[in-house]
Amino acid sequence: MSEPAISGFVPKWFRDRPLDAADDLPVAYGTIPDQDPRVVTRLVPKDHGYTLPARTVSRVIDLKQDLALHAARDVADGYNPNFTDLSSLPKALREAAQLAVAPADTGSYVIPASLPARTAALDPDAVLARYAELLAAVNDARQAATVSIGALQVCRELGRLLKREVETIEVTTYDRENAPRPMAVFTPESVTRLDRLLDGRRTTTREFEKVTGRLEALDVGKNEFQLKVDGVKGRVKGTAAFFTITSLRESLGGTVTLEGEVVRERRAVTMTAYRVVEGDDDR
Amino acid sequence: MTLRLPDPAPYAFTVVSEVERRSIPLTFRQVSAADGEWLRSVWKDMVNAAKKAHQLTGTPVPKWLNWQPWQWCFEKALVEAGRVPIMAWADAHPVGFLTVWPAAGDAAALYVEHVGATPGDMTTGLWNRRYHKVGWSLFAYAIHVSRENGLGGRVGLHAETAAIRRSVYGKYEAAVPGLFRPDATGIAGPTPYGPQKNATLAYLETTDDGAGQFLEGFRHV
Repeated sequence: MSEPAISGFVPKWFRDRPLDAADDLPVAYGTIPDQDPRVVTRLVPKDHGYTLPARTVSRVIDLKQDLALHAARDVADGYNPNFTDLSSLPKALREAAQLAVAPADTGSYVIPASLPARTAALDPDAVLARYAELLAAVNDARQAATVSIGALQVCRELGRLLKREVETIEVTTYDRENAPRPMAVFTPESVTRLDRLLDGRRTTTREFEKVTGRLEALDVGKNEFQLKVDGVKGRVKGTAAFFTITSLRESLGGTVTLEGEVVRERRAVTMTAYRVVEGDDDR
Repeated sequence: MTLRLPDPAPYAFTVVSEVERRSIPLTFRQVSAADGEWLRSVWKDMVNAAKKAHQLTGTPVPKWLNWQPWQWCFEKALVEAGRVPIMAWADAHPVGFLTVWPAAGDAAALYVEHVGATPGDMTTGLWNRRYHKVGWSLFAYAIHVSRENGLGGRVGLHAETAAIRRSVYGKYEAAVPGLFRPDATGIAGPTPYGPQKNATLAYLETTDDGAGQFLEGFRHV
C-alpha cells in the first residue's frame, strides 16, 4: 500500500523520497565543543522521601568541593598518602579547583557542578579524572592504596550522610565532551569499607623508587604497562595511578623512567607508578 | 561580518509531520535570551529523561544526548568570536537548531558548526520523532543565509564521521550531483577548537552552482 499523500507545499527533494528511510541517522551533526568538565552528584532520600534537610544538601556541596581540592592537589603535586590539610593549599590551586554549582536537575536531588576553564596551572579534565579515581577507590582495594588519608576522610564524611537522611549517593563525572565516566555509588557497605581503609592506613612515609626500562607493552583499557628492566628476569608489570597512561604512547619501545611503589615478590616485580620522570629529575 | 538572517521567501523550508502527513514551513530566528527557556527547561529536561532511560535500561547513550545547546547558544566568548545560534520553529515549537559562523575556508563560506533536530524530533525509547526532513531544510536554509549575506551560497562544514559523510551529505549529493567540492582535510574552520578537533575530519564545501540547485528545490513561488 502506498503512503498517504503529504498535504501542503513539498520541496522537490522530499517528493518520491520515503519519510523514514532505515538508514536515517539522528539529525545531530557537528563537533561537540569542549565544555568545562562536570561532576554530578545525585542524592536519593531515605524511605522514598521527596525532600532533604538544607544542611545535608549544603554539606554534600562542601564535601564535593573538598574532594575536588584533593583531586586538584594530587594532579598538581603528585601523590602524598599522608596529605590531609586542605588549608595548606596555595590560593592559586584553590581558585583553579573552585567548583561552580549549576542549577539542580530533576530526578531525586541532583547537584551538577563544573570546574572552571583550563588554567596554566591545572587541567580541569585531569582533576575530574582524578576525582573519579578517588571515588572508585572506595570500592577497589588496589586503587585505595593511591588515595591520601584526607581524600578518604572526605569520602567517609560523604558516606556518613547515608546513616541519616540519604539512601544512596551517586556521583558521575563527565569529560569535556559531556560523556559520562562510570558512576560511583555510595552505599552503607561503602562506609564500612572506608572505615576499614582508614583504620588500616598508617601515617608512615612511603619510599618511592624510580625504575628505568624499555617500555614494551601498554594496555590503555586496563591502565597497565610492562617494562623490561636490566637485571630483572621477565617484565616489570605495572599500573599507572596519577597520570594518563596514554601519555606513554609515544614512549612505547623507548626507554622511560617511572616513579612509584615497587613490590618484589619472589621473581616477580610489580609497580604502581605515580609519575613519569622527565629529564634529570631529582625530586 | 554581521550575519543577517533572511526571511525564507521565495523559498519554503519545511518539515513533514509524522502524524498528520502535513508539510509545515519553518521560521527561523537567532536564539535570544527569551528562547533560553526552551533550551534550559524543555530541551535539557527531555535530554535528561532520555539519558536516564538509557541508564535504567543499560543501553548505550547516543552522542546527540551529550549536546548542550543551552550552553552553546549563550557562551559569551564564542558568540563574540562569531558563532550565530539559530532555531527553526514549526507551529510555535522549536524543531531544529543551527550554529553558523560567517566565514570559513579559503573561499568565503558560511561555516555550519552544528545542525540538529530538537529532542522531540529524535526517536528514542520514550517517544517517536514528530517531524521528518529537518536536516534537509536546515541545510538549505544555511545556503539561503550564505547567499543573502553575499557568500554565494557557499556553505562549509566538517563531517564528524564517515557514516555522516556517507548517509547524510551523500544523500544531499545524490539529489544534486556536484553539490560539494572534493572533500578536504586539514581545514580547521573558524571555531576556536577547530585546530584541535576538526583538522583531521573531512571538510566539505558546497559549490556555488550546486548550492544554487539545492536551494531551488525549495522554491515555493
